[in-house]
Amino acid sequence: MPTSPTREFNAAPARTGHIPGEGIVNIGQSICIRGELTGQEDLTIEGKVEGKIDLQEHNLTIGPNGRIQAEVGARTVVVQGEVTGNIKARERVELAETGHVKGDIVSPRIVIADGARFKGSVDMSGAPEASTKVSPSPKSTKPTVTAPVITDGPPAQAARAAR
Amino acid sequence: MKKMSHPELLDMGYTTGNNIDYFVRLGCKVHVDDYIATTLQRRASAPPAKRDAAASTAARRSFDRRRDRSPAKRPPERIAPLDYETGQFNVVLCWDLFDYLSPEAAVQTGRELRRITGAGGLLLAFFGPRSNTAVRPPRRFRIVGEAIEVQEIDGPRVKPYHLANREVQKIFADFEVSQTVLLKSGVREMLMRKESSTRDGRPSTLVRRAG
Repeated sequence: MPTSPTREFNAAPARTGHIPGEGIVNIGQSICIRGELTGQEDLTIEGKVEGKIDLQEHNLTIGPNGRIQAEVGARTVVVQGEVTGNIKARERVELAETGHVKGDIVSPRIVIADGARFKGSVDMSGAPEASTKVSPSPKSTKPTVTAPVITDGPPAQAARAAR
Repeated sequence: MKKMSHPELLDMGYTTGNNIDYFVRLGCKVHVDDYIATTLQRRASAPPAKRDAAASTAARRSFDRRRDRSPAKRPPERIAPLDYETGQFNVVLCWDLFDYLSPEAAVQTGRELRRITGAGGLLLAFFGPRSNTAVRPPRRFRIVGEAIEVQEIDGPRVKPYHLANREVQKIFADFEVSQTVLLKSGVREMLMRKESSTRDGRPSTLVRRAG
């Protein structure tokens, strides 16, 4: 795990954007950070980060252009870009339709949109209200095939037997 | 599967939140691997068969005939090993993965699936009919209640492969077929269980029957 050079992330560093009134810091597409990224406010990443991200009690959004190779920890994590590394969220992880995660997810709530790419394991243990929710992507979801493949006749009997 | 205690499950189909939810609620430790999507990407990016290029000119065909009397062939497909531990999973969901694998890739993938499935583990796979040769988009299988929805999704359109029953038996030599359902469409749903007796190196009953 690359941890150096370590960089303490501040609210208004040079070349990062602060959205007025929203308290959200944005790391732009041209920014590349190697090391440990910590902070005490919500963060949106559109650039590249390699190393470790730890926002503890705050929200992290990996934008569609974000490319992360890091262990990620935050209160909530929304992935619209690419993450290679494990994600640990105290409240929720949301994997959007454009999201691509290669790593394990640990969170009491996990939302995975159809169309997302994911390779890893899901750990929701220890969660008081463990539940996975799905928000189907209208773009990727076509009408359900009513062809006799699975839905006709005795539907997926072998699959049901597996359960 | 409900009798298993916290089984480790690998879902190799397109990532589907419903399925993860379903199996987490059953107490499974769920692993997701978009293997079908990866397979389709590999197929889409594979170089065209040399035969296609050779067929472009009569001179090239003539050269091939003079050289070795055999048409040029696509180089053998090599499948990267699955990066999971031996015997790691109690349940593996392949869905229609084998519709997208060439015969040699199916053999290699089957070998890996046998390796990562633990003794007594379950494997679910669907095998398309011989007549199903039309190019079609990939599909997502979504568990909804007691049924399974099938959705066509965006992705490379490919012509599915067909595996005969005997080929399936050979690929999954260490498995016993627990249940087979032949649908009207010709699709064979197969639920297979890995034999625990194969751990001592003896051949499985399926191999003995097939041989």
